[in-house]
Amino acid sequence: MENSLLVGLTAQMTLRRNMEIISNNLANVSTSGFKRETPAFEELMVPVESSESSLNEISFVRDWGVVRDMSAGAQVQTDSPLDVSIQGEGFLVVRTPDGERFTRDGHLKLDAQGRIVTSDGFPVLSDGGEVTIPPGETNIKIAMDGTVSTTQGTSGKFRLVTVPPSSLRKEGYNLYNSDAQAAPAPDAKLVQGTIERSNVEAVTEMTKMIEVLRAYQHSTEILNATDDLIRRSVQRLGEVKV
Amino acid sequence: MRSLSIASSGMLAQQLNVDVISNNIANMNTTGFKRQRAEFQDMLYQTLERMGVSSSDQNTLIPTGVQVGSGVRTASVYRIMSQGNVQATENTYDMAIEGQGFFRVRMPSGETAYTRAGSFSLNGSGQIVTTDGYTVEPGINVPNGTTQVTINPQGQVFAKLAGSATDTNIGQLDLAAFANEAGLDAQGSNLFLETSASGSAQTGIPGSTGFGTIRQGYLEISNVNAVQEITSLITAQRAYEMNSKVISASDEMLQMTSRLSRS
Repeated sequence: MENSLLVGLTAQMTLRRNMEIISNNLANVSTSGFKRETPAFEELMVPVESSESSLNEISFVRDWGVVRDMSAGAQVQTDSPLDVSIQGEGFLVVRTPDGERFTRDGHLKLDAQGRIVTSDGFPVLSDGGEVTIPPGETNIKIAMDGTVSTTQGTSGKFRLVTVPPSSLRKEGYNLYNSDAQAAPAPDAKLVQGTIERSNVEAVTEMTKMIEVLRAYQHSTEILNATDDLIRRSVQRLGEVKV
Repeated sequence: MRSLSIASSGMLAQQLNVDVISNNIANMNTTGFKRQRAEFQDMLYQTLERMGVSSSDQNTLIPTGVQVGSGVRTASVYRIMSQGNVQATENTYDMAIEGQGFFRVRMPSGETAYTRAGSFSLNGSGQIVTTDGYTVEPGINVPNGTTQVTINPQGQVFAKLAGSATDTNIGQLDLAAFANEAGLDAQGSNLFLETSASGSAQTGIPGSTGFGTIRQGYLEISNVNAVQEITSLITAQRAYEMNSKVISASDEMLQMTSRLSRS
């Protein structure tokens, strides 16, 4: 009898996590380069205590992973010459104090030394290390292949890499980490003056949110019904017949 | 429930977004104003199950772990230093910078502030000052009896004195440039201060490499694009609304849970 309580509990636990993932997607609807995530569930067969009935296994639900949708977000035109978006599969390489990280967030900036950095001040790497813009230079040009040039010549060529998607770990701050080796991305192109928006689709997320909400409601009702059954059986069995 | 705090981080971010956009719209007609943009990042992730760990002794690996994010944070409010449109005013002491650079302004505290708002005028002693009365460096005095003042694109200031046939050079305006203009500290009143993020100011003659030229009788208006701002405003408002819906949905789920124990 308590099995249905436990099944309901696993359903609620996974639905809550599902809700957290949906809310994280919606919170990041304006985060550039953000990739939406969906939880993946699986059935977990567990043998029941007494196997006299024909049903000798019940199925719990379990989330086994979070699947990341790496499809491209919409490109929007901006005015800033230091905004870039990556067309095709690929990442920019960023040097953080903890090592190299990958990003698709193209809000690049200059720092006091004229280096091209991310919002957190981490240098974006080229084949030869950091990219520095000569002082007083206004006309920054970033070519499709990542070559950064000014009127005073080429400053460097951004590294564009691909990483096996299954090895990517999100670290927050729009950065990804990976244990796998990064390989050059021949198909990736940089588009200057544009930004890749988050690929979260509000409609999809809202629909999924309603689904989760209703599923949660149903599982609550199952729990309630089971609870009722137990209570009533205790009451009935306790009645002494004369 | 974590989705409550995740959604509230989303609402806070969108609120800031609306604040930034409304400030841009409010300053649409501010001389030399540079629009700002809020930029967001995802927050830390909690790894509940690591990807890449083996799921059996046959060396099969879990392709995708379980990582749950914790919302959104504001990475920066970036100032876009692109050139604003230049408007003719036919006012002698109105100056627009075409290209890179800032006018230097001596503050009452002795500090040097930087501005692109070139709506200058003369004070009682004939010095070129800003609308707040602060001296524009290097401090140019227009002598008494001047009938006409001409400022050329290279920043040289000429005065035509009454009774004189030729113009006299009375000074040279210079400009300041920074490695990272977006790193300047905005002080309000169209003034900026140098920071360690902007790099130190490099002064130079207008028109030399890396510096813009001066247009007398023109003002640089703000670089705010109304259509763009309104579009962003609508997007931000909708995103705010959706995050608030997540909060009410999470609340509903909590309510259902609490109704479980009704006995």
